[in-house]
Amino acid sequence: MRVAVTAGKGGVGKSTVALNLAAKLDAVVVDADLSMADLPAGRGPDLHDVLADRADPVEAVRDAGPVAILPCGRSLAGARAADATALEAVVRAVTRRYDRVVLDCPAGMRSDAGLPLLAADACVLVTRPTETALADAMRARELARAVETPLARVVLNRAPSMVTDDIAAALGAPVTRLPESDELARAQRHGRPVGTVAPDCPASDRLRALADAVHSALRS
Amino acid sequence: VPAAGWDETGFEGVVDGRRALGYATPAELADQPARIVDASPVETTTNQPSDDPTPEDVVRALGDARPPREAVSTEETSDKRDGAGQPWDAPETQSERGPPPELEAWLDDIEVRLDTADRLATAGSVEEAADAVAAVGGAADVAALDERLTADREALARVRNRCDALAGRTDRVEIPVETLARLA
Repeated sequence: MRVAVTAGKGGVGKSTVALNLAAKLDAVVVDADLSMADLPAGRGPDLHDVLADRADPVEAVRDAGPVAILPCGRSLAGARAADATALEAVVRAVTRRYDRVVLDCPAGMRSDAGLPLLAADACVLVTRPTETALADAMRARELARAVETPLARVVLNRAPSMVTDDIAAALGAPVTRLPESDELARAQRHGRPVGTVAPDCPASDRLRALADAVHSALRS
Repeated sequence: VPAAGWDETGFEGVVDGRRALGYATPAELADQPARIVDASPVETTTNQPSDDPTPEDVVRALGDARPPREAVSTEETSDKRDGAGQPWDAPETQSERGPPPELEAWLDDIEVRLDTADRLATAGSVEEAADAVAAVGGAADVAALDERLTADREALARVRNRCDALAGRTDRVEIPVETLARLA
């Protein structure tokens, strides 16, 4: 199972959703944002090294923490040397070993956003309940359509209680609403999934429901 | 990623009637800029390209998103690892050309609060008003939202003044890039 977490623009909470979705699915999260990595890295080979054919994909996965992660380097030289077209094969290799993979995609409409979508069986689109964020989400949805990756779920992040039918109809997928959550923000600042900090908070429950929905969408 | 049909040895493609071909090269002009090395009929039934997009298709259609070569210092860019660039470095990524995500997120937060306030302000019936208040959390939260929006208004005004001042300066400033390059 390979799920891409995407967004039309930055700052909507895409990496937070990717890390937590991976935790709930017991998946490896791959930080596929080659020029603006956002997930915790640490030392050792990273996705830049793997895409430059300097490291083995499976050996670059750190699986000692609460979520197994294939981190991405932060250097410009690394981003320049990485061959993003190799991402699909890398994701396939990690999936063979770990079975489930969540890809944290870059925002935007260029090939760096398109390639992780192409490498996935389905995607989750993260957005906020504002006009600008929703317009960008529509464009991200078109990009997923262009690379023929179905949209499994929309996450409306940090949204107050509201009717989401119009958004679901416009984007063409069911909506999971994530409430504003101090627990979730605090956990993310420490690079941890919310389940390790506040397993019973409302945001953690919603993320579990999101993982269940994505799981059953991909099974059917 | 080279354009479809090209590799390091040349171009291979199907000619259906006629076909235009162009390329750029730093070499001198030549009388014979291209040479046909092979021509054979194609099996149209076996040579159909697949409809599934490939990674190369994606890069061709959307462009190479790697940082340009000029942006990468020839020395190892270890100073960039901690994000410790200089404020006058050229924008490195698409997102650095636009407002930073943190600013966008802050503006999104205000927009969400304003949308909530709009729903409270436009409730047409007692039921609608009760629903809108319940969605916020209760009467105390309505008061908190009102206070927060007052703070938002002041913060936005401060940012607007700063933006106006900086935008005015970016309009007026002119660096004599070529002159300085000659001096250096």
